[in-house]
Amino acid sequence: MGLFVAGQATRPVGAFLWGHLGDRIGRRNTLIYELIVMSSAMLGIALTPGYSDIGPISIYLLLLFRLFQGLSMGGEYGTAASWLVEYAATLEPKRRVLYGSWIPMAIYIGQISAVLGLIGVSIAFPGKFLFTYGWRILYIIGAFAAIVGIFIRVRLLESLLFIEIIEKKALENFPSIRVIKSQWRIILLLGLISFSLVSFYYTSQSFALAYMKVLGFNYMVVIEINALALAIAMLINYIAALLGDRKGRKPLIIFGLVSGIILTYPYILSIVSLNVIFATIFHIIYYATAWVIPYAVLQTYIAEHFSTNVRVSGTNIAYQSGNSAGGSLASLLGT
Amino acid sequence: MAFVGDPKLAWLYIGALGVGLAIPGLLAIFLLGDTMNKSMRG
Repeated sequence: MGLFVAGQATRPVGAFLWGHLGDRIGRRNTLIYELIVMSSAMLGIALTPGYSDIGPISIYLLLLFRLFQGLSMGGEYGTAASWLVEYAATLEPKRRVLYGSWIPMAIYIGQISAVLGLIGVSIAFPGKFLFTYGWRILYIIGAFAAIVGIFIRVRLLESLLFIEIIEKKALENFPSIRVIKSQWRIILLLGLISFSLVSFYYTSQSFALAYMKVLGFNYMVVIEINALALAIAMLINYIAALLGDRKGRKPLIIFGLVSGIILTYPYILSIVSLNVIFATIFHIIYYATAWVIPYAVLQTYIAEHFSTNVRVSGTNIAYQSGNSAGGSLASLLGT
Repeated sequence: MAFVGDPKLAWLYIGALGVGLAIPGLLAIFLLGDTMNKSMRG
């Protein structure tokens, strides 16, 4: 838990630093450097010897790599959101939400891959191996996937809106500081929206899954229920993005927040019923309505609040401050 | 974990948590108003 919160806590720092870089050296270069830090941290976590081999140093090393992982994650969202939404603004201005929704889509694909990897390792190495060494295999696979991602990002083109800013010589010297000073109210309010939505994410992806196991649901059944929810999430994400482009971003975010309030109790009660079918249905509905639908439009909604010369900074700081606070608070209160 | 003591009562706690954490977001989206940079330029 301490390692988790440490990673969460460094996200706003990462948001500030990567935001500065994204608005100074460009979105493309920043995306490459973030992934280099991420893959290095993941490899570090995978290769750190256990407590029985090197004693407490293993914990300090894990903490250090986890901090770097959190630092990298702090910049990923806002930089990718700015790049995607700016690209859409140049190519297809009326499809900005659809372009932005590739961020959650990539997350769902990654999560499903992780679940499949987990199932694969559990089958290949039954017993305690998963908890002693098996997780390291998953981290190594993740690190290599990130290295492939670096090569893909090297081939990306820079955002044309950012190039316009360079040509106009309108780059900010200290974009992260500037955006906090000039748009602190908007950052605070966008951060609160992220905070609330992230609490729904952790309710379904952290508490509820742990709660199912505490109440006696089979470990593999819990993983399969969630894998089904993630697969459906990809379809819902696409539909919500199309809706967000046609009907606006705000109605979908309000829909998500209201759904979360209305459905949290029935959702948890469906788990208490110990009926796997009820629990599966409510898990899918809750995850789709309270998280997937608003999250499909959130990155575009946030990025659209900032001008190009401070967009990565503003998007990063607003989202990650809310994410860090919501994730840490929800995890501390719920565990 | 908070619900290890009595798992059967955990739904009350988690439910309150879910509802309570949602309120700041709802207030914020109404306070934000229409502040979006619709052209994305500038």
